Amino acid sequence: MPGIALGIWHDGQQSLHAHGLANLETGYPMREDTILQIGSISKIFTTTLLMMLVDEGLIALDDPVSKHLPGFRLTKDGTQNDVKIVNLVNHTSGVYGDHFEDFGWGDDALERYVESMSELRQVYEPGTLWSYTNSAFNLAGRIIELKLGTTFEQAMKERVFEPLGMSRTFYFPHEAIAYPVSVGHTLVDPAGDEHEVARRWPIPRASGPAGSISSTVGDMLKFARFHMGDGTWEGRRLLSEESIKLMQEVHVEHTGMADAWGLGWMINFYDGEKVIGHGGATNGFNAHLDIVPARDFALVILTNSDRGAAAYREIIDWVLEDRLGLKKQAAPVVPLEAEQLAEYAGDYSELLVDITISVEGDGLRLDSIRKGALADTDEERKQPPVHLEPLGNDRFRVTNGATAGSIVDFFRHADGSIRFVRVGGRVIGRIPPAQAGN
Amino acid sequence: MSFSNALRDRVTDAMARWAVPGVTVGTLSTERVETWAFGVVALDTQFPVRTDTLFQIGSISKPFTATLLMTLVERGELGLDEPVTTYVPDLILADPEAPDKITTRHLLTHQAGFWGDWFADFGLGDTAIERFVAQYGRLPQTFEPGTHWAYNNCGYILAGLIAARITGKTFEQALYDLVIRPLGLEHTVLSAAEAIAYPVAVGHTVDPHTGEARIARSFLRPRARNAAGGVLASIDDVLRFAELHLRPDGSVLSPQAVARMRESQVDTFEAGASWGLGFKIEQYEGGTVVGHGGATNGFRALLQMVPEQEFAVAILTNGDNGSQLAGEIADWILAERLGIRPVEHPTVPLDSAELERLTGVYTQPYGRIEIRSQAGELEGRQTTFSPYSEVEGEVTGKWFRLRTIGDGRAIVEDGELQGNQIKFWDAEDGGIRFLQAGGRLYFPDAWPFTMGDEA
Repeated sequence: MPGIALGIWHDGQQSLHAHGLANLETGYPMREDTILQIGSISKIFTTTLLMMLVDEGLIALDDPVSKHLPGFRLTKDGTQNDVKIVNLVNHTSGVYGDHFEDFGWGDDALERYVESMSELRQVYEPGTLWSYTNSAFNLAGRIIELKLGTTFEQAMKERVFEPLGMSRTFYFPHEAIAYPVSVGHTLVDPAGDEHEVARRWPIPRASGPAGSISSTVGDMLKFARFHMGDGTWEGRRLLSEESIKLMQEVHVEHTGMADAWGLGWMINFYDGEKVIGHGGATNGFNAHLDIVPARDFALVILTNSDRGAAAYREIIDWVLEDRLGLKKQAAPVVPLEAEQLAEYAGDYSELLVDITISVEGDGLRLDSIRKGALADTDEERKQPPVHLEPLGNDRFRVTNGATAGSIVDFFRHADGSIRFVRVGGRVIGRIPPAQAGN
Repeated sequence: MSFSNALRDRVTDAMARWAVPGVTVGTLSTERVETWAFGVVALDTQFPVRTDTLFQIGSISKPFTATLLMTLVERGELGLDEPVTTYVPDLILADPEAPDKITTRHLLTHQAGFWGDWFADFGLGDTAIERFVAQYGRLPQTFEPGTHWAYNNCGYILAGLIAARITGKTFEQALYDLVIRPLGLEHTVLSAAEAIAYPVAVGHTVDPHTGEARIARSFLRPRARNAAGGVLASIDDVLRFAELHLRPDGSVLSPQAVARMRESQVDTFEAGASWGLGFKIEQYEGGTVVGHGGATNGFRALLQMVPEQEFAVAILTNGDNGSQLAGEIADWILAERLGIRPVEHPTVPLDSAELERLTGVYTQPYGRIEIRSQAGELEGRQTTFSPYSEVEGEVTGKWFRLRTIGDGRAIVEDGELQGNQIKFWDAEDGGIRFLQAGGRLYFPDAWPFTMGDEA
């Protein structure tokens, strides 16, 4: 991994650390004030701004999205009256999520993106399952634009970045470029160690609410401390205490990427202590923010590598144990019979990935082929296969590779047959065996 | 002392004198391409400049735009002497007759006559250039099309729109497809969003009070300006572009088209200087120099080519005083390598009545120049108040001495503008029509035009 920047807030003390390089090509070192992409941690910012609108009575979490987007059609199924605003920020809308279509750099990018959401699939019935949904946050961003009458980025700057003194936190490359800023690095070969500079740096503007903030570890600790507080910052109220707390409460329990989900936040329990956070993964950058409000503790890790997640998972667990004595208890393996395992075998497919599940020893084997979008090239990219160990209740855990420890869930039709697999937090439909044979 | 060592000494000395943090220098000759990197990409990081570092090249983008338009001429899709309304029939200018009189040749040679320093921000979207040009009815027509030369950014932006309309692509995509990619320029981009993933320099302005460089946090942004100044490139790529114009292989432009671009089309206000299609042409002692400079917020750049000797020198800097450095170094390299030098202009003294006639205040929308007569010598002082500068409010420079060289011209003898020429143009009534400096027209007393309302 080329470089990492790390910030810790604990009991009123801040420490910032920088290691390695900001750019493999130039050899420029990582600095404590280097700007890196935070990816989907941006979703917590979007949720924060959305909650400000809730505080002001401009929207309500239970409003259908159609209430704030007259004439808007959501998905091919027309689910705009069924999807509530709360579903957008806790990943339960069921709207196809990995929609990153580029509508350019104009101020109308988000508006045009949201118009294109009428072409998306409704993967499952709104509110019934949890599946990581980028597109829903962009829709939330558009609602913010309409309610505040300004661009989404400008609203965030005025209402969050500037009040919190986050002076090196930006949405646009032309803002970040005049500061120390890191490039992203991707793996030349997913199975190897060699990295190369990712020449496509920006996220399309229309996906800004889902993930295009760049920031420093110092600025991110300010944001983290704000969320460990009462909604005020330096004596000024930005958000109600109720909204701060509501964001951190468990709203969805059975999620594939954490023990539970709040509003925006993911929630994990370490020895019963609530650790809330979020990760981010963009082209060549991986990042994670974790806060433990009960202990006045925050940890932010920003990396400039496509597999920075493998490193930050180790670091988070080590730091939480070292500093707070918190340990994540791994769920025990629950052995399954061969015929039970065979139920899960089959082909699953979504726009961005094809997955094949087969029985392998006491568990399952998962093969996946990534198909374009956020990958550096449009070529289909075959990922190294991983092994899954059974945890019971249709849940499995990856045992090897860069995603080791992550959860894979299966969901069933009413008749008991397998309907979906959830990998990497995404609910992916099974191709019925009759079709798969064609 | 080797050339490289002598160059290092001179550049290092000039960087200190002019408060320029980082510089790349490149030369192209019949034998080889050589590049050098000096200083730092940013004062805060102190990270070293590399020979592949991207800089904003500012108005050196204009020769790129002109090259793009010439590719369309060669394809038979554009007529240089057709009125621009052939390609942009919806063009509205303040003078309703002007659109049918102005040609693409006028745009590329700065003879369109509408005021050309309007830079309003229409954002980053694909439609920015269309929306920008749709406002040209605001720009006063400062002279009849084709009758004068005055540096015109807005003219180049209109030229960029013509390329977009003809190709059916964005201006940027057309430039990539027809010039940048065919030339194999892999370190040439048109936005911060692209440049950020490359080694790239940060601009620096000079504090007018302390003379010290400081980081310009405002990087180039408004996309509508790209055809006038939006290119970012490495020194190697600027030299590769120069090579197209020195040794055309027919891949982008024919040798005939390249030759046409550096033919003098119109005299400028400077003695011995004229303009071709996109390039400035200067007579030096011993040869003709064809080139262009560039200036954006915090960046200055210069490209100078000597076609007779198939030689080019390019200098990219990340400091607002980089023009002075680039001028010094380029002239030194041209003298050292080719033995050619700027023409010395002998003094032509003026009598006191004539000196008195020239004194006064001359104004353009972003500045004014005061001219006074002191003990038989002419002096000048410039005040700028650009809305696009990082320096807020009016900034008034020091009085500089002017040495008159005849034909209404004078040369600045000291200060930051040292070496620049200005010219007083006579009115038919015996007064002064305007003073031209930095390519811009300064009118006696107040600027006699008003900006129209936004459409």
